[in-house]
Amino acid sequence: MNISKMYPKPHPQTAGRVIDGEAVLILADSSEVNVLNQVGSRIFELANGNNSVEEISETIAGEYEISREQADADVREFLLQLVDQSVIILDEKEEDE
Amino acid sequence: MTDERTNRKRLTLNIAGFCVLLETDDELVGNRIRSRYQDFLSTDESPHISIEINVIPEVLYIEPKPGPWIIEAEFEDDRLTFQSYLERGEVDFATGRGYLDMAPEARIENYLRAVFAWLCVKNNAVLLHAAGVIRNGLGYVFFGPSGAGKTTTSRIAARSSDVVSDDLVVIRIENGASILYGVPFRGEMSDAPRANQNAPLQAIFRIRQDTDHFLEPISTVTAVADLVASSPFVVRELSLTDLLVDVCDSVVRSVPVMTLHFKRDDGFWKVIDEHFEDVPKAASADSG
Repeated sequence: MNISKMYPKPHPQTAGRVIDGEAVLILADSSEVNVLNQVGSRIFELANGNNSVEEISETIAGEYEISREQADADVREFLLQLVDQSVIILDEKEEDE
Repeated sequence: MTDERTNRKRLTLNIAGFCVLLETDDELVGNRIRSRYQDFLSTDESPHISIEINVIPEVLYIEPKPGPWIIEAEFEDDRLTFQSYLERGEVDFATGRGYLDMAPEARIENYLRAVFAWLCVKNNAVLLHAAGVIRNGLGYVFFGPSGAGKTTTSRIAARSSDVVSDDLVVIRIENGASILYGVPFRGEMSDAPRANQNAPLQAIFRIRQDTDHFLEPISTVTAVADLVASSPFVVRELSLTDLLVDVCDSVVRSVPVMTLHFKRDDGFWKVIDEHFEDVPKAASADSG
C-alpha cells in the first residue's frame, strides 16, 4: 500500500502523552497502555493529522541523521504497526486547522 | 444515621477524604452497608456525592452467562452510567447526585468502586488495583496484573505490618507528597482487613514472582504507564486520561517505583529495608 501521501493521526479511541521524550499510549477500547521508544514517540508526535507520511519521513531523516530511504522504510513499517494496533488511523486529507 | 420521620437510612462513607452519602429506605440494605463499611462511616454532612439507593425485588439487568463478570461503567460529560447483573445506576458528578437501583441481594461495591475511581482522578488522587501495606508508619504499594502476587504479598506482609487492602488502594497527592489510603474494598483475601488508615507513601513496587528477592529500577515513563494501566474504570475513559496521567506522573515523581522480584517468603522486606537504608547514606556521601 502506498501511504506516503496519507496523513496519519491518532485513533479516536487512543490518547497519547509524551513524558521525558517517550510516549505513553492509552488504548481506551482495550484498556491497554503502552510505551513507545524515543524515535517511535517522535513519529507518534508528528502523526497529528497535519503531516503526511513522507513529511514525517523527511523530518525523521533530518533529526536522526539517517538516509531518506532508510527513514521512509522505518517510518512506514512503524506507522502500519500502529494502524494494526488501532493506535493511529490514516487519513487521505490533511487535518483542518 | 436514621431519619426518624421517614425511617430513611443515611450513611456517609469517607474514603481517602472523599465523602459519599448513601440514602435508602430499605432497612436490611442499610444495615448491610453499615456493617460492611463501618470503619469508613463518617458524620460529614457535606458529601461530594449523594446517592439514593432504591431496592427493587426480583430485578435483573443483565442475563447471567458463562464468562467474565460483567460490569458496564461509562463516563461521559461528568456522568457515570453503571450496570451489572443486579444493579443499575447513574451519577451526575456536576450536580453531585446519583441513584442506584438494585435487587435486595445485590452488592453496591462495584458501583462504589466506579464512583470513587472518578472522585479520585478528579481530585489529584488515583484508585489503584494494588495491595497496600503500612509498616513502621510508612506506606508501601504492591501492584501487578492478576496473578502477579498481590494477595500472596499481602498475606506475607500481614505477619509484620498492617495490610490496608489486598486489592485496591488510593494514593492521594497532598502538598506534593503521596499519601497511601486504605479502602473498604478487598479482593481474594477474604480475611483481609478493611483498614481505614493512611500513611506517607515510601515506595511503589511492581511485583514479579521469581526465585530470589531483588529490586530492579523502572524508567519514569514505564512507571507512569504501569500505574495508568492499573487504574480501574477511568483508564477506559479518554476524557479522563489526561488527568489520570497527570496524577500518576505526580505520584511517580514523588516516590520511588521499582520492580520487586520476590519469592514466597518475607525476605523481600530485607531487600526493601536495605535499599532505603542505602538511600540516605548515598545522599549524605554525595553532599559531603
